[in-house]
Amino acid sequence: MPSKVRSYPHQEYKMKREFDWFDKPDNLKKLRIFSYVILAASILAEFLIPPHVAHHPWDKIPGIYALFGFVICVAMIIFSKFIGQYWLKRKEDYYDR
Amino acid sequence: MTGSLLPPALIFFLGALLLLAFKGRMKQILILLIPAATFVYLIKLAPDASLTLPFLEYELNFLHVDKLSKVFGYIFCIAAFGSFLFALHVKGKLEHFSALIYVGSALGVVFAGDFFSLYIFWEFMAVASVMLIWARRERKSLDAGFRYILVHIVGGLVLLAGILLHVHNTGSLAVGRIQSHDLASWLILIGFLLNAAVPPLSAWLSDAYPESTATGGVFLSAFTTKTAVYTLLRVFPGWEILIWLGAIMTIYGIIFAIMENDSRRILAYSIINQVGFMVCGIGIGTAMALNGAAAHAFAHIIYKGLLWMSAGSVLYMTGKTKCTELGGLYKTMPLTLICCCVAAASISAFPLTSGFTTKTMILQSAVNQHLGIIYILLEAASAGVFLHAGIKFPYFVFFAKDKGLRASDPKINMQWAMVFFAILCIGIGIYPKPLYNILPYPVEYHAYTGIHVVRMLQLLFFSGLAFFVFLGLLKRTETITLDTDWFYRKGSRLVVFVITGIASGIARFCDYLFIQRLPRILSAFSKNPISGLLGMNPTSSADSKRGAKPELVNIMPAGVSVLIAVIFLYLLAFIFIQWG
Repeated sequence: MPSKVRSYPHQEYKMKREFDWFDKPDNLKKLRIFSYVILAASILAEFLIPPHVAHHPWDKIPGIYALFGFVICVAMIIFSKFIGQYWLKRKEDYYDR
Repeated sequence: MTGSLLPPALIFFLGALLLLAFKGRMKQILILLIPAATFVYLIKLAPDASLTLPFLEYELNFLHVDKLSKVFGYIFCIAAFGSFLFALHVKGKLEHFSALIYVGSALGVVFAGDFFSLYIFWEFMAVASVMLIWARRERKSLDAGFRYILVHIVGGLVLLAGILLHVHNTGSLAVGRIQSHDLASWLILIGFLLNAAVPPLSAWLSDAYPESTATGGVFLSAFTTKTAVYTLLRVFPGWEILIWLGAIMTIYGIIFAIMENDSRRILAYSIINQVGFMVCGIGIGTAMALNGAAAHAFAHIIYKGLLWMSAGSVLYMTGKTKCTELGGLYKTMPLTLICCCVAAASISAFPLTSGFTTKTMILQSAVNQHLGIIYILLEAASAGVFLHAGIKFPYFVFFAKDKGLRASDPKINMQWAMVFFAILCIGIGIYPKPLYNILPYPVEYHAYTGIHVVRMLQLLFFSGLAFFVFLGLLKRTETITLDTDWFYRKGSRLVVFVITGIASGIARFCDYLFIQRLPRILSAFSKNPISGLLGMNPTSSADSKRGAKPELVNIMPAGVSVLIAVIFLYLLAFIFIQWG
């Protein structure tokens, strides 16, 4: 990276008041409540739409995609944490040694 | 050449030559004009145009035009325009020159009607693209570039072997659907799969792309893998193995992206993940699945380019790419953040973005073909995309912990490029009809049904919930992740060790036999045959002490060459006696 690029962004923003909405705990609390509402709404919405053809046996269960999304993501997070920890993750200079 | 037809590749190649003569503003206009002009030229191109050249007893076809090649032609021009706009400020000519050759060769592959010209452009692409990695001029990019080009040369050779066998078997050079499952087909398939970054042949991508320049990564993300997707679409549609390879790819990309700390490497793994959807669609092979694969490639090039642009902007402004060093940039890089979020929503296939109108075609075709397990894997991958590219990437770069970086939005041309791609992402999401119209087969698909939208939202929102609930487990560590490149990065040392071990062993033995032992015996023998025969050695005392352990460098070639000379002499004698 050329050095001129690294240096200039700093001064420009010192003067202005920073936009730091996401740093305030109150706002984060509002955001969290808003997210819960959205999550609930996405489940409830399934009861409002017209009935559909079921291609798979699980298609009749309401909210199944929400459950599936959550469970599969948790599984993927834990799995990658596991193989990372015990097998694949190495120090950054691994290939230089 | 017939009439006024011109292969699109040639426009870019001529442009690259012109570039060498231009400077400053003229150079900037030129690099934007070339993709724009090619785009207009493609619109006007008749659907059955062809441009053939006789070559030995075969015919080369540089311009094979149909709907499929036109879709990829269009998107390559759009991608090139956006990427050149993003890289407009770059000084020096190396990057722009190699990018022009790179895009031109990609177009060359797309419009190649015969395997021979396809292969030539294929190799050109590899050579031109490595320049975009080396242009960063750092030790790490130099090394990664060498590994990248070596892997692609090997892949190219496999492809060439396949092509030669194929031509030998069928007597035809024409690029078309291959149905026979013989050695030639498998070799060609492996050559294509390597460029499509199908694991375990994928490590070159996550190794090299993140080491490219801030602007070079945008080019790289668009062309190599999508050219491979195009060739798979043309040659191997409906090959069942691709269904499984594609599905595995989608999951593989996610697992590695979750482990990764480098923001650009996360994006590299998400290319593998997204190309997986396309490969799977090609394997399913129905009209809808092939349409889906082509449409998804189209949308993917734009939103992935946009993601690389936002990561490139961050790299350009801060010089950093690691999640552990980034954070809190939302305060000072608002436009980059917004564009990044549009791209993140598109890659996650949120309704009203381009991913939703394209990727769901592939999912729907899996449902229609009753591929239950594949459908579940693809839905799991859809959830995982949101996890790693949709949330993880923007969260750790722009939010998370403020690391005190106060970089502003990048240069104005970079901002315009991002806005251009962001508008396209949303445009294709809201009004996909123009895209559907240019797809290879007629489209009878409606993305926006109530159930599609609701299910997709449920899937994504609750994946997001999983991210924040398990944020503790996702905490970034200063680590790298081993991939299949381990075999040639660490494995190569083993090979070197074994080979040098064997070589120096042979050398030492030859040295002992031919330089030390034999001459001494012979000279002793010639001086005094009787004592030589009896095993006495009158000349040995002084010589052997001085040269007990001679320098290996000087001795090695001599010893080995004596051995080789002796062997050849025996061979010659043998041949002479046998057939003389």
